[in-house]
Amino acid sequence: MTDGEFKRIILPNYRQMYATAFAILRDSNDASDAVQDTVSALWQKHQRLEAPENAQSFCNRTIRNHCIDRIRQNSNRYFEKIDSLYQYPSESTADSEVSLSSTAILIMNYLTKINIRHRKVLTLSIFSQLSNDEISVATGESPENVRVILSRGRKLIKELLKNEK
Amino acid sequence: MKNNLNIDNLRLLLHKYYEGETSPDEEKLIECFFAETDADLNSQNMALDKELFSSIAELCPGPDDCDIPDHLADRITAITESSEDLFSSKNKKKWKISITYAAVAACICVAVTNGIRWLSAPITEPTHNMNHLAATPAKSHTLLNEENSKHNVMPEKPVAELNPPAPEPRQVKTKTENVTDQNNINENYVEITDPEEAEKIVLEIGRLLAVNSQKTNEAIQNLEKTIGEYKELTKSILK
Repeated sequence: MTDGEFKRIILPNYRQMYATAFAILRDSNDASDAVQDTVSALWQKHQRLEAPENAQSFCNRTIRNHCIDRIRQNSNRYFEKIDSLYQYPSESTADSEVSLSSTAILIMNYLTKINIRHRKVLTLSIFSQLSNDEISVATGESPENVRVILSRGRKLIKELLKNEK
Repeated sequence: MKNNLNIDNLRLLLHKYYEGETSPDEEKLIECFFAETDADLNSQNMALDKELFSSIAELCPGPDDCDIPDHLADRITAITESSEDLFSSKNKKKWKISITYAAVAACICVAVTNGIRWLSAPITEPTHNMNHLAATPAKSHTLLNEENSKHNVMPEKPVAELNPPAPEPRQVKTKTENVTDQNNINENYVEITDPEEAEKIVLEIGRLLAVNSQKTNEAIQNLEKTIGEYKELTKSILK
């Protein structure tokens, strides 16, 4: 890939890459850093790469892998950020910018009560919408364990909703 | 998406979802169906599922819900514009480092070679001295003079006197034959048969070897010091 091809094909996708990174990392600064690191890494290797057929998909996959690596290497930072999202107000108030339904609050309360291992898996699934394989890489759990944890967690949440009604 | 998903397919996907087997795309499909459908889901026992998926959607913002920071575009552009200079300066620095290492390695090799030469040169001289002692005529400062033989002590000689510039003929006070007349043997060579004299010669050789050993140690220390100085020089250049 030449310099011109890189600037024409890869660089314009930085917005989509940021949106993907933000959806996973849930932090603006972390997402910006992830995009910059990814673009920088691609730029350093661009002469050895061939121009991708679908640049958007290629960039999306690359930024997702980078974000998963960031979570794996510094999971505390990621989960602290998600924990800060649990500080949402319990009901909509005049001062709050975000109002959540009672069901959403119920889900968040449930996540605070389960053990840390299950909480990490469910958090990555709910808040970052990672696939089972990506969750497995980020947490170190086997794919089968991830599947079982997700299955139990989702069924339990549904049961809680049913009891609430 | 709604048109591609009917109730039966939805049930299958929901079953997969609660078994933990769905992909993010399939979950998104379910979420979009629930968001767009007007169907009465109570009769299908899917009202709770709809509520669950709508709550999860509240907790997870979509790609359109985030604002792109203003500085991000500048940071991305700067990567491609400044990295060319960065790489060329990196290459220059790499060349500098390589040349420095090569220069230091060459200096060390020269120092080691000279050190080895210097160390090896005196080793041959005791042999010469031995011949000198054994065969050359005595002078006032030689070892087998009468004073040394009286005291049976080998005097400490200054360094310069240990390496005389040229051997001088010496009369050997031994009982051996003088073989200087023989054509096939070096005229300076004499066989020592006197045990006392031989012992004195051996002691002298031992003393010379000890002095050489001391010189060797000093040379090694000097070499190590030189290597340390070159390492510091390398570090200062790399900084």
